[in-house]
Amino acid sequence: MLEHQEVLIKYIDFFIEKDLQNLTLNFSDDSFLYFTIINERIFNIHGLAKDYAKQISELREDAANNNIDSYEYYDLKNESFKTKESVTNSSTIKKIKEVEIDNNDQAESVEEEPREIDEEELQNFRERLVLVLDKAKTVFDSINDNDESN
Amino acid sequence: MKEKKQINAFFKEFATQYIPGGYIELFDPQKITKEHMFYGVPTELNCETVEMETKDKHYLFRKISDKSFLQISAEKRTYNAGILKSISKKVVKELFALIKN
Repeated sequence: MLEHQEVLIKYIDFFIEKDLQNLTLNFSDDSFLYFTIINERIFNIHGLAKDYAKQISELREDAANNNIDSYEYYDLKNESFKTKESVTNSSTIKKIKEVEIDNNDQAESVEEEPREIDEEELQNFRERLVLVLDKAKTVFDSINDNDESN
Repeated sequence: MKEKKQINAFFKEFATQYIPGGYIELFDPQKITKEHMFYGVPTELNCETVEMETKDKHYLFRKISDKSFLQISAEKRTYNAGILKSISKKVVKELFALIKN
C-alpha cells in the first residue's frame, strides 16, 4: 500500500507543480490512470480504456453529489491524502464490495473458452512488427542523437 | 542530415494541414529542460501515452522508443483531447510510412 501511495503522491505533486486540470496515463495493457481536480480535491481513478469515459462521468457525478467515499484523493485544503483503506468501513464501500462480489460471480459464470490462435500467422506478424519497430527506433534515436551533436 | 530535415518538413506540413496553430515535435525525455511540460513526469509507471490538460492547452505525449517521444499540443478552445489523440496516431502512422520509404 505504501509503495502504491508513494507513486500516486509523486503524480499528484507533478499535477500540482504543472498546475494541471487533468492528467491521463495510458498503458500497453489497455488500462489507464487518471487524475483530475474537482472542488480542490485531486482524484485519481484507474481502469480499462474501454471504461474511461464512463468512469470519468461517474466520478464527476459522484463529486458533484459529494458521494466520494469510494475514491482515493488528495485534499488540497487539508493537504492530506485520503486512501481507500481510510474509508473501508463506510457504507458506500460495503455496497461496492457487495456489487463487486456479485459481478465476480456473474463473470465466472459467463467466462468464454480461449480462442484458438493461428501460430504461423502470429509468428509472421511478430517478425514483420519487430522489423518495422527496429527500423523506426533506429531512425528516431539517431534523430535525437544528431540533435545533441548539432 | 537528410532524415532530420525530412522529419522536420513532415512535422511542419502535418501541423499546417491538420492542426493549424498547434505544435508537433519529437524529443528525448532525457534531454529536455525544466521548461518542457514533460519534464518531471514520474518514471515509476511505464506508460504509452500521457495526456495533460492545463487551463488553456491540451498536451499529448506518445512514446515511440526509450529516447523518442512525440509531443502534440494545441489550444483548448480549438481542439479537444480526442482530436489530438487521433492526430498523434496519424502522425505516427505516416511517419512510419515515411521511414519505410
